[in-house]
Amino acid sequence: MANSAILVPPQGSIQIGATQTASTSSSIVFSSGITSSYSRYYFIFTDVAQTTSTPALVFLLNADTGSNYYYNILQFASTSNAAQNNGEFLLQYGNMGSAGTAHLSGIVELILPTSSDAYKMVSSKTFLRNGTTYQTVENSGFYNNASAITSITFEMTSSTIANGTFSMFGLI
Amino acid sequence: METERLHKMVDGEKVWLTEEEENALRAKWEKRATQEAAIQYQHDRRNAYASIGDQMDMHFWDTLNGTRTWQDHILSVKNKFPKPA
Repeated sequence: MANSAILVPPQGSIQIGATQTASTSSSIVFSSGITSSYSRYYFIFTDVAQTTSTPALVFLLNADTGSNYYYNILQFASTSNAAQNNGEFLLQYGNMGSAGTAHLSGIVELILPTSSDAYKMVSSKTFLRNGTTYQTVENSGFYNNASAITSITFEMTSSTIANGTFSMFGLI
Repeated sequence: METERLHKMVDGEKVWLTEEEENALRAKWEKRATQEAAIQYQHDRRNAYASIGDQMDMHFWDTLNGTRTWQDHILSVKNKFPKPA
């Protein structure tokens, strides 16, 4: 059953590119359209599930064109280490739960990703249904790197993404 | 049976990982899984503790009645999800 949370970007936002659908995919990458034209970006993901094990969904910020990018795991509360380049920053409490029972939806806001200032602010709100358990988590942090962000990647910490849709919106 | 190579979605296009990329990803998954397992008890405890409101209620009644409901609750969670040695 899909997670039924309703997620809407702010009024005036424009969808950039097509909605991407995961199907046992290792990651979902947005590499086109992240420019200085927009001050804020919103990433909405719906009904995301993992393939195996009990991973968490990861939000990665890529500041170069190669594979040597920093990543942040969006994580809530006291165990987070969001201020550091490689800080862990999970999108929900711990892992999502077992494959086949967990479904995650949420929204991530990324502010001024192409600026040369060090701090790119990130905030998120997620809704997780894991069997009969529901969980809502809000958190925020920043990406401490002066380089402009060139692409965004969603991936699981230790599994492929079984399914889910991902969309990117920009706000001037 | 040969395992199908992994792919990623890039701006709506399916892109197959090279063998090198896939090996690097699987190594990263393994490393992360180990890291996650080490702190899983924290997440389990956080989900198992009663809400702050309920814990305050336990404190109130414990104070009035001389019981130890709150202590027993905290202890039961810690025992159920022990910190790895």
